[in-house]
Amino acid sequence: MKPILRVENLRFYYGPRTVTSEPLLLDDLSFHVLPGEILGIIGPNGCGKSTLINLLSKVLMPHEGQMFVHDKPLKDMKQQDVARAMAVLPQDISVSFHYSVEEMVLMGRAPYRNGLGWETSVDYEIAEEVLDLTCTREFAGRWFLELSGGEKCRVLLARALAQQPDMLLLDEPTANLDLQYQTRMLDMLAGFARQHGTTVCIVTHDLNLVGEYCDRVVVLKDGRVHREGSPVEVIQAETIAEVYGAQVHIGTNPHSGAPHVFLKAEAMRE
Amino acid sequence: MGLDTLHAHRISKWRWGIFGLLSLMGFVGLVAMCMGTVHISVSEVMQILWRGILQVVGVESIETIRTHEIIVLELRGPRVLMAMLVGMALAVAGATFQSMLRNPLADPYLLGISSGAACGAVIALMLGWSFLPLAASVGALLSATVVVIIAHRSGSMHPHTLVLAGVVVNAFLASVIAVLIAFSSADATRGIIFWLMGNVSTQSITVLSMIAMCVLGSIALLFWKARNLDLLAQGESVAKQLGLEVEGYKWFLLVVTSLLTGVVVAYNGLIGFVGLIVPHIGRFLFGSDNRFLIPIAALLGAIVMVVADTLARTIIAPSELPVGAITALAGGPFFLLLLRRARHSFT
Repeated sequence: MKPILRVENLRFYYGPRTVTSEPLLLDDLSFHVLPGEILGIIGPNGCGKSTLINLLSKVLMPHEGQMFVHDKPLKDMKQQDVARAMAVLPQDISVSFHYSVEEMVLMGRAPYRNGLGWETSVDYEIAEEVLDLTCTREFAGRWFLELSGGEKCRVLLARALAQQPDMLLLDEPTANLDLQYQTRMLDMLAGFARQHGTTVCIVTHDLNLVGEYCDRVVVLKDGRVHREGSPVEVIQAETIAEVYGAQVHIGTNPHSGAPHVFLKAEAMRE
Repeated sequence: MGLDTLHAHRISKWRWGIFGLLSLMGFVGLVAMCMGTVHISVSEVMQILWRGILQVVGVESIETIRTHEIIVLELRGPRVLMAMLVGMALAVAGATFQSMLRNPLADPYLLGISSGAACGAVIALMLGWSFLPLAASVGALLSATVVVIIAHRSGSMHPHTLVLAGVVVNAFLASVIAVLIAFSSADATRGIIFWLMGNVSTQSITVLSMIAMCVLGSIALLFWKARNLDLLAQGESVAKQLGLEVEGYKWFLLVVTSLLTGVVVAYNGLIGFVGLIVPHIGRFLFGSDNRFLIPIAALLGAIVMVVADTLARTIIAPSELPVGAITALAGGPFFLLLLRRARHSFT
């Protein structure tokens, strides 16, 4: 199968680089994403996960290396085409003015409209569909600014889905959600992805979520891919110790058979 | 209720809004032309205007020119038209800056962009250049670029920080203007100072139509690209992820808003707070969607400015108050209110 996204030898750092011995944020990073898969990207704090999302969505440009979407170099793609191919669920967003939930979601149709960009009936149908999918229809008329963190997250997901992307990039999608909506959202996403053949990349700290929902996992450390494979192959006590420097015990979820991370408090260690 | 019905409701409310504001603008303009040291009745003003139009078209020629006709066609009429254009330009520039900088406190005057235009115009005056609006627009563009760079450097900054940056830019440019004035003759100084205070000036029809072309053309351009303003209001990275070429669009906005501000400042001096208040009234009435807001702000701005200018020239008639003083009197308290609200919603 041809990968939907190829990342080759990516190098990136912030600000001017004066000391050449200083480590790069992303250093010779290469990986690929297959169409239709749910890929988890994990790694310690500050390993460049969010930066990677910004590079993939062409918000930032890499210093070296190439990215290919459907075999087309990302740097030659128009921003509008990037937005049609990939939608991002940001971790946080601050809007200074009052936009209603419905207006926020309809902005997801902007990559398909030029000029004044008045929405067509197709846009409304799509918006209603994604409002239903994310259970946000009930507050479509409310101000986005007045919603709770979890509600905002669902609205932003609806907007990302309204972009009808081939690939969804999710930055810590469950950070603001309670347990009920974590499972509901991920079940919905997994179902949606299987049904529409959408590829999903999840950047997260939640290893149990990765074990439960992802087909494949990429572990980042020191700006490059440290390990790569299925959740069972990757989520192992040694890998976690190498990457995070944390002592854990790995068990199995008795229902799904997925690997499960158990924390070891200091008193429990030998 | 489906989203398309919801939207249809909003569009029809907006259409009625545009229609209502257009009528109100016409009405306010007519009343303004009646008021002054010589009172002229509404029906007479309408008659004179009608004959004026016929004359311009060439259907009728006026043999005997009466004083009332001179007052309406050569003094009050052009002045009301100018006030409308000033209000439109400042309100739309303000609305644009607010979305672009994601800051409810943005206004061309408070950010120092009007001062930049004034500085450019004063320099052009001293060097004896004749094309003031161009010099003023270049001045506006330079100070607007500085403000945007400051805003960009600090990322998602607190609204107050940008206002402080505006205070600094304003203070710096005010002293540049003060130094320039010190080198000019006493006569020129009086003229410059009166102009700086902000006055709606009376200009010939040729000049007025040139200003009208610049202002209406710029507003049409901004309206055509207004959807992108909503995307920009979400933050630059989000705007890119929604498909906007941010850098190019920001330059487009800077050039067009500088032209708007420059043309207005070159003829009318510094008029503050219109660009701050009017967009907020528009948002309150019709929401933040810039495709709705830009035309609404233009009409509201025209109305507000005609009212302010009529007050300025009638309160202590036959002498005049600077209209900049009137707008600042009304705008100052409003600004404080916004400042309080901004503190609540941003901490």
